[in-house]
Amino acid sequence: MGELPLPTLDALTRPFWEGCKEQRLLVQQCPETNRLIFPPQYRSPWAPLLKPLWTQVSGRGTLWSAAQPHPPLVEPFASLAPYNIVVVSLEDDPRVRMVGNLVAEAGGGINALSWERLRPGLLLEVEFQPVTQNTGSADETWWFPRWRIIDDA
Amino acid sequence: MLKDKAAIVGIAETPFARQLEPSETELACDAILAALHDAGLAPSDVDGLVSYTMESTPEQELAKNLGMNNIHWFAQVGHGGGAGPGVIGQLAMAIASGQCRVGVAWRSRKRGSGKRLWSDQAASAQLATAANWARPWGVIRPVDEIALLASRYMHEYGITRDHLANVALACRRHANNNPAASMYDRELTREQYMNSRWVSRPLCLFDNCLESDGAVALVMVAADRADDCRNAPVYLHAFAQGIGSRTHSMVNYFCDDPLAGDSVACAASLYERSDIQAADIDVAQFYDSFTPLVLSSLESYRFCERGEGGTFTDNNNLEVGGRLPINTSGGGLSEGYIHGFNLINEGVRQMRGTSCNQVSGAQSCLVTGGSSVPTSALILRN
Repeated sequence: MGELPLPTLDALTRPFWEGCKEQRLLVQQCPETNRLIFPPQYRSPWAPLLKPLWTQVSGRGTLWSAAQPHPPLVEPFASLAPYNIVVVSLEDDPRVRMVGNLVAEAGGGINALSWERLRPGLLLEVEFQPVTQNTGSADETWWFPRWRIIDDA
Repeated sequence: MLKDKAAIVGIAETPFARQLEPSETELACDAILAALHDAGLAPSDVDGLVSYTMESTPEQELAKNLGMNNIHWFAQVGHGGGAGPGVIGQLAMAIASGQCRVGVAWRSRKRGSGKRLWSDQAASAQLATAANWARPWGVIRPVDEIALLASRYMHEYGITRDHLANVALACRRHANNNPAASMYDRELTREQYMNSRWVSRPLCLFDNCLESDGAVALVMVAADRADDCRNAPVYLHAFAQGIGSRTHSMVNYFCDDPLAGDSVACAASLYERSDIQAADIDVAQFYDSFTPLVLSSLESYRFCERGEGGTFTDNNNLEVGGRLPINTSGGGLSEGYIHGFNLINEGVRQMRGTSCNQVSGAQSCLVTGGSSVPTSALILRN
């Protein structure tokens, strides 16, 4: 199985992934309007003279959209197909959304839930799953936010 | 105002196929020479060149191959499939402002036989939001990016797979009348559509455009010079580009209203600059890398209300004889996928009255760029 396509770590992305390591879900916030911002930006769109700050959100949300990739794909995803990809609307501000995956149980895989289960509106809670990648010289662990269904009414 | 100041006087394309032997540069040469011949002009008449930023052949390579020794203006437009009408619009502005007298626009691409961009992480990483905030979770291909938007769109407005099939079938039927289309002799039934394999559910094989090799070119001059050319001129009546509020290219899930993307912004300025409004448009060529983009474009460009893009497609409304015939050459879904540029040439044929699926008496044609990226659109008239 190939390596996960990891994001670039830089001034904009690093605080998010540092938060994940501590099991905290972080997004940016506009210092002027207090509106949440994600993905991170250099400046707030509502107050472009100000740099956004980072803040922790509840880690709960609702399923906004889901899709299920099938082959042809590249590894490591080809071996998991069909798996789910989702967009989650955050409880703290539903206008703020994140891409992720749904898992059926804590620590579970991203291909365990059937397509029929992936209904918009599901209540979700984040968990952080360790992904160890060999970066050439050493093993490196990333903590990936993924989402569990907490209300399957 | 740019209105009607520039005219398209030559068009041409190479064959479209899954695999063509010549290089992208040679295909570009073939298409450009044929477009100049169509216009009754020579390479030495050309003084301007314009293309997509994703084009692999630099201007000077074309100039030296074709003996264009008089190039004084050149430009490129970005954003992949959002570029097409923008390329033509930039050329029209150069002509209207006197920077260019005879301009050539082209797109040459070997996407059919070349490698998939998505299979190479480094190549895909050019879009930072996708690389950092979608791809790590398995949103790998353009079809996965669009499937997430389409899935929400279908949920929110009750759009069904039958509506998506209406788009695929309309394009295929048009291609079945167009001998130049890759799918000319391949009929498609609703049953085949429904039974085809998933690529990124809810999108199936036939929701995806073709993967094609080929090149398309076009020649433009000032309106007052157009009468000297071999073909009746087709005027660029209106042109606009647009970026929506806080949109993200391809992975547009993060702004306040993701289902109203860049096309809504583009349409607003397009119609503001145009005497021809949506209700007046006779035929449209919508960017169709994926079928749901056509449904949302019907809404964005004001042919129906928001959420009604699905029902608009019922009763064969997208086919010749329907309310708004679209993609009358077969489009990216069934003629060939040359990054949307073949849609522009088909718009010109409709205005000349020479389409294989001619809309009787058509006097105006809308041509749009990709609706999930910073985009552009044109209104052509004869």
